[in-house]
Order: sequence, then structure tokens, then C-alpha cells
Amino acid sequence: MKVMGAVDLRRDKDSSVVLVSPDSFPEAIKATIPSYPHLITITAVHIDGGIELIYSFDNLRGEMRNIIVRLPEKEASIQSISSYLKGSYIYEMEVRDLFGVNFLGHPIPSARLLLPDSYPTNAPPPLLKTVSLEQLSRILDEAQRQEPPTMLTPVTGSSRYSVESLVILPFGPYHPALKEPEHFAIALEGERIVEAMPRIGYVHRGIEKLAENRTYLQVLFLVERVCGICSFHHSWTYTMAVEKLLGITPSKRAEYLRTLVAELERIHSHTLWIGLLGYWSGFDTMFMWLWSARERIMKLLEMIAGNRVNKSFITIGGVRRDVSDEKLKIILREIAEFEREFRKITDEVMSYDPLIERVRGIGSYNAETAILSGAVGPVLRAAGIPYDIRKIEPYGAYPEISFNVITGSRGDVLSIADVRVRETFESIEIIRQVIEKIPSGNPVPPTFFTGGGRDGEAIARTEPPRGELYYYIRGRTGMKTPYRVKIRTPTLPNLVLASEALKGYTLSDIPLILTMIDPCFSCEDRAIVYVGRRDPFIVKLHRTPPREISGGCTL
Amino acid sequence: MRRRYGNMVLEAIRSLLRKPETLPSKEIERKIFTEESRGIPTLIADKCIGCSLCAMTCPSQAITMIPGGKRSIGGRVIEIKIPSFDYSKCIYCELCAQICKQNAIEIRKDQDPIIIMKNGESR
Repeated sequence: MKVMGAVDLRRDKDSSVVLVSPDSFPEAIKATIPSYPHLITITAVHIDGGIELIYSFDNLRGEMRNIIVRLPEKEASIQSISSYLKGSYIYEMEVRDLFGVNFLGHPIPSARLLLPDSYPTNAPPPLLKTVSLEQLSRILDEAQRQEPPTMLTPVTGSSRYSVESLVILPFGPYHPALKEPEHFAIALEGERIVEAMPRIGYVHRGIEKLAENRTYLQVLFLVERVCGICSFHHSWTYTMAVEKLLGITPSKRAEYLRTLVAELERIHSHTLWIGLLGYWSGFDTMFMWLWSARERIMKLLEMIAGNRVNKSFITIGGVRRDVSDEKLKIILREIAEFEREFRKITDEVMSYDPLIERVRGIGSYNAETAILSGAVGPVLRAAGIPYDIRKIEPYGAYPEISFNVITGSRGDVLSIADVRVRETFESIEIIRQVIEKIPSGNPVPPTFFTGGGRDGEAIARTEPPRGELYYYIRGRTGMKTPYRVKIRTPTLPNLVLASEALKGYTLSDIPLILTMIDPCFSCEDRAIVYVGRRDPFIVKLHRTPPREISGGCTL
Repeated sequence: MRRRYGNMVLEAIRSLLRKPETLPSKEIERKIFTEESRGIPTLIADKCIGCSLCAMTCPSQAITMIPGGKRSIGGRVIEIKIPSFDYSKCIYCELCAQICKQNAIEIRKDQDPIIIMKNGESR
């Protein structure tokens, strides 16, 4: 079995790690991009009085190359690589917001992506190690009290269009066509979209910063709450990274059970998305049908884990409860029933002409655009690139299971819908194989891991329903808490593609094209601390007198 | 065409006879905890030795240690601290009960879950 990612980046003898100086950095990037065209993310770590930037690339076949460059802490600046790879601009904005690194030649030099516009420009960047949680709370608290509230006018790159005869339409953060808060500055020429500039960060919850203040076991429950729909994949990827860092091997049965839950999650997520496609194209019956079929899977998840959404099923070194053979039989039966129902519904709706005509050719893009934007998951596969972490870097029980990577021939809404439908059937087959091949044994570790970390770094990648998920963990000997946890969620790069794909289409196509990538806006936003409201909350507990808690929202 | 109408009629009859997809509100109230769900952690004070392991591992930091009086442990009488649960922070993950070596935390499913209401409104 191939080793996943790099266990210790610095100790690797192969060419997967390149240490460069800031001067020779542009040449190193130029030499890397032709053979490694997929930029996974830029990870910044504030360590030993400097900022380390780790550019992680993939050659779309599972081989990674990490280019590491070290910058001074004060007035850190480096050349932007967005002229070579368009999709990198969003990662650069993230690092600029959170670490204060200046990227020379960045296409949107002044705008923010994640930090609120009210965050003072002279305040220290939030993810530096020198900034404490209390200090951060104080800065944000003072900024939010100021008048007038600056959050009302988000700054995007739209100012460069002010001299031309274009209309800049503010779309969001609260808009009927968006289910989650998100702002787009949309440059319009008549009804046609010329450019769309995203601004996210309205649902920041400070997860990366908080993770540095909690023990390894506590962070597991924190990262589960990054995203409600792929919550299990988040906890699995984190666990995988910690297991690699500490050299823990889970039992075979635990790996199979993890795979089982992950695939059930993929089925429910894809079913949810196909339902939403109907919703956004005005076909509400399709939405109702699919969501009622999805309920069967949610009940299975509840039966396995006890919870429907945040499953708390996994732990470092195994899983937290076993699944009995009777339950596995129930899963087989229910899955067969779901397959029959799902096949019937999708056969009906995917041959319904009004729906096909509405979504065919909308938001079209080609493979090159998708790669340059850094797109992942079904969005990239629909354009014909077989990029699936389950296949190219097998983890869990996937090395022992045969399945196909589903690809499409062209990128548009219809093609992505087709890929997701076929992937759901593939997942059903995977679940059958998992249940057939599952070994016996005890998947629950005898004691829960409560210890600390050790010096080193670990990278873990998985394939959630939306695409590649990336975790980077840095540990230190003697520290109970992780030194740095970096999360790269699939929606962030896909958002770059969506804003590319919006160009040339009309205003009425925005909901469909945004839905195409299956956006999970909350999973992109996770980097600052929310101070909370001051209204007193009353907690009512059955059979005990009500009591007042001070301080408002919990972090 | 005729088959299509036949299917429609069949589907309509099937939908009429089927149980509704959503649960009536009364049933939801009855079905708060299923067999698999994790319940509410409560302390069995006699068993607690005040080791604080639950407070240190609680993911949402919902457990604080408060003075719990004197207890005789191993022939000596000492002041111990016992956990106090903040149910507005609790995420019902059952970790405290699983990590407790004395089995002093019991997960109960006979209580209603806790309701948080703003400004003292009650349900």
C-alpha cells in the first residue's frame, strides 16, 4: 500500500520537499507547475520567529510536491503566483488575512477574504502565535462597537470597474438565492455577467485558532463541526493526520467501519445536492422526492453512530462503537431499498426534458480552466479528469475494494449532476463490498488517546462528497495541543471555478451555477474568534430552576 | 401515454396509502432518544474521586470542577472536587462517561433534552 501524504516533510529523502529561499522562489514555482499543475493549498505556519509558507502541489496522479519558503515575521512579502495559476489568488488572500504576508503582484491587492472589514489594519494578524485568544477577542470587540458598521460595504476587487460602463451588483450576503451568507460583487453588462468577485468570511468560527488551544482529542470534536454534511470526513481526515503524526495504526475493522460511514455520508450528500438542483431550477417535486429518499440514509447513520449530523463516531486509533452483524444486515437491506427508490427517481427526473433544457450547457467550463482554478471533486471529474483521492492515494478500506472513478466528458451543470448520480450508485456498490469483506475484531481502542504530540508534521487527504479535503498538522514534543492545524476545504477552490464559470451567463443562472459546485459556505470560513452577543440567555433545564449564564455565545 | 397516466394514478394511490415522510410533532416529542443516541451525562457523586479527567477531556469545556465536600478515599479523608455540567455547552458526545475510570458519570435518557430560550421565554 502506498504511504499517504508525507509523514515528516523534512525527513523525506525523495524530491517531494523543496526548500527554497524567497529569491529563488519564482523559478522553483515555474519549474514545478508544468508537471504539478494542481495547487492544493498554501499552508502558513508561524514558527521560530518567522513565517513558513508550504505550497503543496499535486500532479493529479497522487504525487505531492511541497515547496517550502521561509519569510521573516516582520513585513513578510513574497511574489504572488496567481499569474501562473489563477486559483492560487484565493489561498494567497487567506494567508494575507491571517498571517499578514504581503503578496507582490496580487490581482486584488487591497480586498479581504476572510477577516471582517472592521478588523483594524494596524492590529496584528490573528493567526500569529504572538496573538492570544483574549487579545483577539478584545480587538474584535472594539472594532464591532465602532460606528458606522463597516461590515455593510464589503471591499472586493470591484473598484477597478468603477470607471467603465458596467453595473456592479452586490449579490448577498443575505439574498433569497443564497442559503448561506456569502457576498459576490458581480460586474454586469446588461444581463450578462462580466466578472464575479467572491467575498466570504461571514460565518467565521475561529476553528484553526481554537484548535491550537485544545488538546488533540478535543480538536477532533471541534473539526467535526466545520461542516454539517461532510462532518465525518473532517473528523476522519484529522484523525488520519494525527495517527500519522504519532504512528498509531487503527484496526482493520475500524478502517472498514470508517469507510462504511464515509460512503453513507457521500450518498446522503449527493442525494441532497441532486434535490437542490431541482429546487434551484424550479422543480420542487424532485427536491421533495430525493430528500425523502435521503431520509432512509440519515436513519441508517443515526442507527450506526447515534447522531444524524455530527456523528462523533471516530476516535484516534479506532472508532467509538462497534456495529453489530444484525445492523450490517439492516444496512444491506435498506441500501437495496434506497437503490431501487433512487434509481426510479433519477430515471424519471434525468429524462424530464424541461429540467434537462434548463441545466444543459449552463456554467460550462473546460478541463484546463478547472485545473488552473484548482477545482476538486465531482466538479473536476465532470470535466474528464479522474482525480479521486480514494483511488490515487487509497486510505481506509479503499485499497481492498474495487470501484470506478466516475468522470464526465464536459463541464456544465448537467454533466456534474450525471457524475453525482453515477457516483451514488458506485457508493452503494462500495458499501456492499465493505459489508461483505469486513473482518472481525474489536474496532474500539481499549483507552482513548489523551496524550500530547511530538515534533513533526503530517498531511492527510480524503475525498469527501465535495472533493479533496486537506489537513496539515504540526506537533511539538511536550505540547498537549497541536502547534498548527490547517484545513483546506473543497469549496474554496471550487468557488474560484464557479466565479470563472459565471462569466458570460445571465443573472438568472447565478443560483444554478453556484449550486453546481455544491457550495458549503460555512466550511470555508473558519479562522477568527466570534465574540458573541451580550443578550442574556436563559437556560431551562427540566426539573431544575432556570439560571442565567453570562457571556453569551460559547466559542 | 396511457401507461404514463396509469403510472401517475398508481403513484397517487401509493402516496395516499403510505405513511407520511415527516413525523407528527407528538411522535417527535416521544422519540427524543432512540436506542442508539447518546443521552445526558449526570454525576453519581458517591463514585467520583475528583480526578478531573472528565473536565480535562471535555471537547466543549462544559465541565468545571467545583468543591464537592470531604470524602474518604483509601482510609484518608480529603477535600475533593466534583464535576459540574454546563448543559448549555454540552454537545452530548458521551466522552466524559467513557473516559471515567470510576464509572461515576451516568448517561441518562429518561430526561428531556435541555432547551435554550432567549430572554426567559419558555416552551
